[in-house]
Amino acid sequence: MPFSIFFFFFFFFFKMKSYIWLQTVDGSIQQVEEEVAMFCPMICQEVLQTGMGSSKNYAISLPQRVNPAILGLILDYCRFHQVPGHSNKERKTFDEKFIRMDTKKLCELTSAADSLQLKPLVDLTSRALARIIEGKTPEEIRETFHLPDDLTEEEKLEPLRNITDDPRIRLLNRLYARKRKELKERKKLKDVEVEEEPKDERSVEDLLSFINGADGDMKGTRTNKNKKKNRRRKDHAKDLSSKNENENDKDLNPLPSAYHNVYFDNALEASASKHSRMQNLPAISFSPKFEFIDGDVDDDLDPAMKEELDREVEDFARRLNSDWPERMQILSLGQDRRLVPISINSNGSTHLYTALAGNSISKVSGS
Amino acid sequence: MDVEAEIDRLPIDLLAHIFVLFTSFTDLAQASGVCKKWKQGVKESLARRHNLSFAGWKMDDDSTARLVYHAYNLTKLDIPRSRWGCQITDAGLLRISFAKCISNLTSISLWGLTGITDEGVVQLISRTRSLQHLNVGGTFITDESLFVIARSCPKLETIVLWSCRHVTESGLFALVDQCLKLKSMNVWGTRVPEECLNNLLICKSSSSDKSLKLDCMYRMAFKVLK
Repeated sequence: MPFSIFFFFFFFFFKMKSYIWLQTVDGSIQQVEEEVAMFCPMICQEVLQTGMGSSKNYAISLPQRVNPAILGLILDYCRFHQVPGHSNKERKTFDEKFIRMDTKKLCELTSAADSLQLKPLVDLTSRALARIIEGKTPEEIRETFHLPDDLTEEEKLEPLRNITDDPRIRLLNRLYARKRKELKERKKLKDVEVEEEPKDERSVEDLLSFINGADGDMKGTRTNKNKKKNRRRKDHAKDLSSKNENENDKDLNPLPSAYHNVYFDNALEASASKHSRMQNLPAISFSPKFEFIDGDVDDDLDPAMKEELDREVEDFARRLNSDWPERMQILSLGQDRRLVPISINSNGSTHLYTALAGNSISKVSGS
Repeated sequence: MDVEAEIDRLPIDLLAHIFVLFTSFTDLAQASGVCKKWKQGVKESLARRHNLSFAGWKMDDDSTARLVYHAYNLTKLDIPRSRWGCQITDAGLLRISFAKCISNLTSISLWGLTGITDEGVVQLISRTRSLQHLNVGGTFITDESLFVIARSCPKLETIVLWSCRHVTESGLFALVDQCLKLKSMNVWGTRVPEECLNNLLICKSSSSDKSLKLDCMYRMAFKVLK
């Protein structure tokens, strides 16, 4: 009799595998080998302190972040690592294969391992995530991890803390500074224009006659006013660019003069979110807002020169009209005239190319 | 964004743990520009660091001080001269000296910082309490700094004075006399005569049981005097 009792205890302690019962957040209960489960400090603590996990009724409730699929992965990791016989090379190979998974799962695994206080696995997954994040811009990181962009426009236009004196960041900071300055200047200009705008004190009859075209003089003065406004805008743009040139004379100015133009705001806005890659400098997109500001270039020309220009224009118009039917024929074949991006010359002048698909290119130039 | 991003569910301390593993300050700067939570995570990751080395980075007073301020658990600070030349000045060292971590630093390296003088070094060293290793090689410090080091760093074990050409024997004697735990001193390239160095070793052996490794320009190997 005593022998049989001794045999029973020997069999129970040394032959029978002991298990621990674990319950995940969805209510499912799993039976796990004790030595594997005890590899997790959190489970080990629960068993030793509360005596839980010994039966199905007293299963250890796992943290919310541990779902059944992730628990399976964690147990696989524990099964391998709790065996003392493996060499460092084997462990390294296992770890490398183990973390080959998508970023979503990797994040879940990091979170679950952290809640189970499994430090080696937390380090492993954190290192994998760090490798994914490294070398990416904020935009690329947001794209990879589907993160919200909760930074305000002001924060985006804030100068980047250039810890490493990265030339790309320096370049962007200069661009942002210029953008902020231009916005301020435009606000000022608007305010000035609002103040200058005279109150229209004409009677309804006068207004009606003006609309009907009776008041020729008024029309004339209006166009003059527009020209003045245009000239003021142009001068303002020039001032801005010269100011910026002076401001940055310590470094070579990396941007062509076309970038100083107030009317390229859209392009700059598009670039504001691109935080630190040189290739992300704004490409000037052709938008409906774009307008030529050299409408009054010939205002102060010599009369003789004006006549010559007029003659050339007439000559050009005549030629244009003479081959108009041919052009219409080409267009009717479905070859649309389409816009090609602006190119910026080394001298800073912009060339806008409009091309017939596959045919000749006519060039409009404005400096 | 309908579904919350998985990484966004990670608690900030776990995000900080990930950011601690970054090897590049540029990556840290990029991560702090992702969103507000990540910005906070980057700050916390700096707070967790025990070792901060700016080797190979072009640092200036402002950015160095700002990073050291956030890293309040720091024990090792390494600000050596980078290949772009020295950017740290006494003003930077003064700002760094007010950081929380300074009293806990056990190791400081200011190797090759030609822009610093006694003024900055004195400000920084006088606020340290636990310093064991100090590297001020290639700087223009004088005995004034050595006297302050001797007074403020009773736990000092190693000091590098490589090519500190304005240091004299009186400064070295003060160090040996007051830093009782001093084990190693590199005086290559200093203008201290050989006899003085011999006297220094004799002085050390009489005042302490511990040996002093003296690495100097006259000997190609350490001279150890038991």
